[in-house]
Amino acid sequence: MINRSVLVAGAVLLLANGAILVNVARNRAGNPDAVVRLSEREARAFMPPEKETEMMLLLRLEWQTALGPDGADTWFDRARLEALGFKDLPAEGDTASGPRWLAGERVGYAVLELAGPAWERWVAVEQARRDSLKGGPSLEPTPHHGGPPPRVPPGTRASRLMAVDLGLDPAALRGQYPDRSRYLILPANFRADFAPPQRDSAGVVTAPARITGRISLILPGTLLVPEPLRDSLLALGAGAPDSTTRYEFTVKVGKRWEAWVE
Amino acid sequence: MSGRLSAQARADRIDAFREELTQLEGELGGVLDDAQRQRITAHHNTLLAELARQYDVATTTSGRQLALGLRLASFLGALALCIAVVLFVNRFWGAFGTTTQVGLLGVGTVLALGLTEFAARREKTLYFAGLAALVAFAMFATDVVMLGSIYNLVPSHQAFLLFAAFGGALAYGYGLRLLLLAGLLSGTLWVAGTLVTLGGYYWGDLFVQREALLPAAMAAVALGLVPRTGLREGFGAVYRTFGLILFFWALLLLAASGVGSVLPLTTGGVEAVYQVVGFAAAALVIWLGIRRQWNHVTYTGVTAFVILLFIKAMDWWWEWMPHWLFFLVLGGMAVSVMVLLKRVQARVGGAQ
Repeated sequence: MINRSVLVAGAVLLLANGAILVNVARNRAGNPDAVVRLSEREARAFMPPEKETEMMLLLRLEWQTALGPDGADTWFDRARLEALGFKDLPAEGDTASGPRWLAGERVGYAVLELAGPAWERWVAVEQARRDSLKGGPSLEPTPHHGGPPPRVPPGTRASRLMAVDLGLDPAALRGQYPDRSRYLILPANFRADFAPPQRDSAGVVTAPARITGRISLILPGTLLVPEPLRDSLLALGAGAPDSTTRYEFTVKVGKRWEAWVE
Repeated sequence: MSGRLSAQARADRIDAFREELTQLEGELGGVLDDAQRQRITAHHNTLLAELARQYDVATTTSGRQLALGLRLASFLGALALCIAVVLFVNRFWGAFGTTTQVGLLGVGTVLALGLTEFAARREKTLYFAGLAALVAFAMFATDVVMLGSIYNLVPSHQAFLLFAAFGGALAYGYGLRLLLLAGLLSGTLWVAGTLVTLGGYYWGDLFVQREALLPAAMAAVALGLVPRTGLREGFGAVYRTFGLILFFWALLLLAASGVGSVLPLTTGGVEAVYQVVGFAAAALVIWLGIRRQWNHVTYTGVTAFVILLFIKAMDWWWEWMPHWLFFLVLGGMAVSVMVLLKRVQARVGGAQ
């Protein structure tokens, strides 16, 4: 007679695989929540080191947080943090309790806008800054998960994917951003950031302590490229460390806010 | 005899008895007459043969050394095979289509489970079964993780519940303590992740919000304290050791840095609370270990007590005291702890 524990372990195996596959099917059934066409600017292809992995191609989403209103560097301010449930933020200028509440990332849903008004505003602001400096080419925005920014004219290489909003209810966010070919809504981690006051050499405070929000991670972060798209991209040279290959692909987001590549 | 560990302990006691009797007779002359000696020897021989037949215990010193070597080889072999599974999947996975990938992961785990059952039926010591079970656990974990990767799933702590159930089933089914440890670790991560999630945070923050680890640690200790009913032989010690190490690890981190605590106190206040709790808990654990004669419990308590003492010493004296004097004081504290423990040992009847 077979040991009962083997049957239990087998049942757990079946349950786990079944649950995952059913959830994947549920996510992908019917009309997707979003269908967005991205390019190599928004998702950098990379392969794990050749000796370790064979023919696995991953896409890493590149995005940046959109500028705030009235020239602010982010829309994700203290008021938005409080609206998202951060009830115990220290008072402005309270530098003592900073580390105490900084620990901890919360979970929400980020709205990523592709080449929309937020992107155009960023290009305009960057162009104006460049003109005022009368300098050469300006810095591209620093993409998340990316390396050092290249010195190129604004808006030519950078990701046009801008995080424009964050909320706890993805359906409500979809109501606010109904264009399913421009706005991706994906699970994201966010946290509060505490910037200590800035002082000049004489010790005078030039900028007060400030609390802002920060989207720290778009989940799952990387997307596995399935066959046959993987083979096509690999044939084009995508995934190589110094690749300049240009490509486009479709990202779909399903009913359970999980993304996949087609 | 309730199990293999008890059988091995009895065989060890018989061996020790024979050695001591030989030593005693060398010092005092004959202490048993021939009839008594023959009766005891015959009884022991019969008993050892029965223990060897029923539980495959080691009945000689060389046998015990070999058993230890086998245990070590089994563990290292399992570890190497687990790494091989993960690296194999990483290396060649991209060459397969999605359906093949999903199928291979499931079939691989089923094969490892079959191998576990096959080995367990043929070997009472379970060295090979333990190895196969650990490989099955690694294959199952790889299966779940790779499915998540294939379908771009958002990482979730719920996977740890599956790992705990899988590991727990094999551990209880065959009495494998290493699998119990794997199951306990997975269960702890699930409980802690769930608590962190209920608090509104990302589950991955469980190592930042270390208080989330304490309930699982205390539950493990509590399970290790209950009578052996329902527990496999030797599992109580695994529960107690795992629970205490986890408990004191979390407590020591909180005592050293209060960042991330849910207590409505300043970081200094949090650290003070956990230092006091840590000293009290360490003292309680040492007392419990001595009272129940659980060496592993006593050692864990003493280690935690000494580390807490060092943390406090750092807080009080490191900044202003010359470093040579600081370490001199630490040495003095260690000697004080030794003197204290010797006194406790003398009171409970140990060596002076």
